[in-house]
Amino acid sequence: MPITIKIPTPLRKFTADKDAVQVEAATVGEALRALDGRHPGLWQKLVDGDGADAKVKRFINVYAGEDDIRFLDGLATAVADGAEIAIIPAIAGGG
Amino acid sequence: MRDPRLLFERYGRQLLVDGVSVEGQARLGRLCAVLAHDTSEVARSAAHACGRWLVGAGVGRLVVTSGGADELRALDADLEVLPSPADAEPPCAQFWFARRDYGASVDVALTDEPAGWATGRSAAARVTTLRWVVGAPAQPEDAVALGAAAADLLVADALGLEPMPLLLTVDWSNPADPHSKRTPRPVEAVPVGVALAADVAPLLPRLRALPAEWGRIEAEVEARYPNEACGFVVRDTDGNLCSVAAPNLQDRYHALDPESYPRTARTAYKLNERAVAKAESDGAELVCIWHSHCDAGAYFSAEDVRCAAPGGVALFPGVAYLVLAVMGGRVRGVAMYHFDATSGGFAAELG
Repeated sequence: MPITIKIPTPLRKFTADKDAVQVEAATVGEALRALDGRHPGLWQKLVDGDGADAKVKRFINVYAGEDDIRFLDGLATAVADGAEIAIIPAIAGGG
Repeated sequence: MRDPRLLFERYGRQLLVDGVSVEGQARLGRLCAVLAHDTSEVARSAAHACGRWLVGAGVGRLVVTSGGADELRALDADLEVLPSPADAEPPCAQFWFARRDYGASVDVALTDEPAGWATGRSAAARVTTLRWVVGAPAQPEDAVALGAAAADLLVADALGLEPMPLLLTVDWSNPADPHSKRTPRPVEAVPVGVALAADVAPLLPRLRALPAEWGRIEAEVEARYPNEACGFVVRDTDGNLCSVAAPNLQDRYHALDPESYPRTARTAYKLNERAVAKAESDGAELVCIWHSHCDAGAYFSAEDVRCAAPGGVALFPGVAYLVLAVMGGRVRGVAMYHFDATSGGFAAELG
């Protein structure tokens, strides 16, 4: 059963306006790789780095279920079949 | 201007300029300029130069936040020198950097209602503000030219001759026209092709006209002081505006990854985006994101811009950003911003 990745509005120009993309993956990192394979360029929009130290950009949140993957295992966070991954722009700032 | 007779004696030629007129000159005489700057010599030079030029143009009252203002005392204007910025109650909540390290920087504002404006609560005050950061290579003599240029812009804006630019970049290589790199404030508020979730430009007065919602926001940001507070405003399916306070998650992210999140909740906010997503899934429309600045002014900071439009791409292009200045635990100023696709920046609505 595929993983569903929810795409936020600002990134839909990279996914031909699709609000969700389905991929096969066992981890969040694999899912985002698969997304990039389908819609090239998205990895660089979402992730800093390419190797083991790669992490989601500060202005992006990736949720696996109800949790930000930063508080799980990052890109190595496991996802079960049928799971939903949500990419959500961060709402942040400061004076 | 202390003596109205000076109007014609001193400004007779200036009155001939289109758009100035007797009424315009009299208006300048009723205006108060507030100058705030840090303690660097460059910033002081720029601020005082700006003050001299504003008085030269006919502005009737000056308020400065620094000592060393003797050179301004000889000018024909009422002068008020506030104590050290670090100790003083802010003269104006729209800008206040004294307790922050912004480098050599100057804020100046022209207002026709100093008393109401000083509380940050007067929506009636007509205020023109300009902030600039003096670049490191600049010398005091460069800053004088910049101060004069800033005075030009402020006076033109106050008289309605030319709107204040959205961004001001100084070209030191061209002293004849040092503010040539200005980015005009767009006249068209909403560019074609950008779908706004709401009419964000006049949102602030409408929000303030809802005492319960407005009171909720103010109470929340004051209760969270000295940490920044955050939340959002949605329009429900019945068309009503409703404010939702959200936890500031910044400290949690800072504790997890201080390299990526060097700031604490004292100077930053991170809103729980899932709360917004839930409201939207319930049919509400995100209209506004609000947060507070603690002991800092109500402005859209560089960090706010970086987070709201990383790489120049607005993450929520149709949403307004409300910033509340909280000084010593009390709300002292507000401003609202929205992304303007024409300029690629954030346009302000002060209130």
